[in-house]
Amino acid sequence: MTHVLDDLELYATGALPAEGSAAVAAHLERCAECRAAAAEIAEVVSLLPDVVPLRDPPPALRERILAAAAADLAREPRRSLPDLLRARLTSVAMPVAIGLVLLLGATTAMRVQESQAQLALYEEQLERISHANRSWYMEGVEPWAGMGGTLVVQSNDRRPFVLFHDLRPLPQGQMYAVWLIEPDGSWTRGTSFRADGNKYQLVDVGRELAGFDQCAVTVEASETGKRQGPIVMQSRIAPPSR
Amino acid sequence: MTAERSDPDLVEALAARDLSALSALYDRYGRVAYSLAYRILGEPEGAEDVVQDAFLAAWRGAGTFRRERGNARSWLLSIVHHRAVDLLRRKTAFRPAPLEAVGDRPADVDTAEEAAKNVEHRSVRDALQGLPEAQRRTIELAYFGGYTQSELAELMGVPLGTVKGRMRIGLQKMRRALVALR
Ligand SMILES: [Zn+2]
Repeated sequence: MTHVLDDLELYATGALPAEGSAAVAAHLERCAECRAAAAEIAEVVSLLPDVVPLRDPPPALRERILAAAAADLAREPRRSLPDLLRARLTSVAMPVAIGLVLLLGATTAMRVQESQAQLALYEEQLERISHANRSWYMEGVEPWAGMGGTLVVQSNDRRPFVLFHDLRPLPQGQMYAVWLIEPDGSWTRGTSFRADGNKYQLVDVGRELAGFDQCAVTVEASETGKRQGPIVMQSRIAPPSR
Repeated sequence: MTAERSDPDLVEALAARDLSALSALYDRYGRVAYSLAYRILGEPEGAEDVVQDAFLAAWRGAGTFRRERGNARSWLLSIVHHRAVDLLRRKTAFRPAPLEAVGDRPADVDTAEEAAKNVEHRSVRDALQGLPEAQRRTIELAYFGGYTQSELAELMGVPLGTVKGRMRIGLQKMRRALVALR
């Protein structure tokens, strides 16, 4: 492997022609030695903008940038489908579910920090999905009013999840637990989780709904064990017949 | 009001498509970004285009940002720098590049007094100004002037090896000077 130490200053200051620059970048990807040296040089070079006299950009520039970024967001839902959730939300609720899923992004414990535009779209999708007869809204009870969550499941899907909103952070050592309750009143814990601080939070229930007729969320001090804490929200559910 | 978010938090939020993170980063670094682009291009329209492109590139590419490669500020400014130099080279593909004209770029005029307002900036400026003329000019012509290695060699009338050597020693000296200040 031919190192590129000789060219690192030219690279950092942008003085290499495009081909040379690309070759150095490619080498840095796979050579820790040159990468370390490049980082030192880049650190100094990154300070060079400090010698430039400051000028205020026109205020309209800020607006243009934000508007273009917001336009990106509006286009994005139609672009890439997160495979994970595409797989879990196929069937009748698809058009509705796709919108929701795309708003949420690709992972299951996902964080959603919407722009206003996304927020409005989210509310609309949630409204529609709640009409799909395969979701149940759990409303926070006093003193947890204002929080809530929608349990979503599909007939061909064994992985229900809850889309929570406005979950309050809990004190250290406490966590939320999602429970499924059988008709005879026995509680089974689906999962435990902590609020991630975002407005919306998606949590896998971790269990199929068959055999249960209620879902509830409580606050617990332990990740395992019987239900001990107060109920935060609860709903009767009617799982799809199998 | 929420507490001021850290740069790494903002970049993470950017990757999660949080528009407020973009506006926060712009409010933090938009001015220096614009100033850098203006310094390189010497005119406002191009500088605006570059800054807009750069922030949107950051917005779209935040997922690829790797923390170990530097902080958010240098990441953003390196995008600005790259794009500004690109644009400059496209605009001036056949520029004659007379040596005496280089120093007369508009932003050179008020550099000293403006930059002196900020102690931290002044120390960087002092480190640069403290270099021997040939080293300082090599760095400035490359970074702010957008000259390539062969142009630098021609412009300064020295072999490529000398260009590299001046730049290397100059940057090393700056680094030592700045480390000593910390
Ligand atoms: Zn190497």
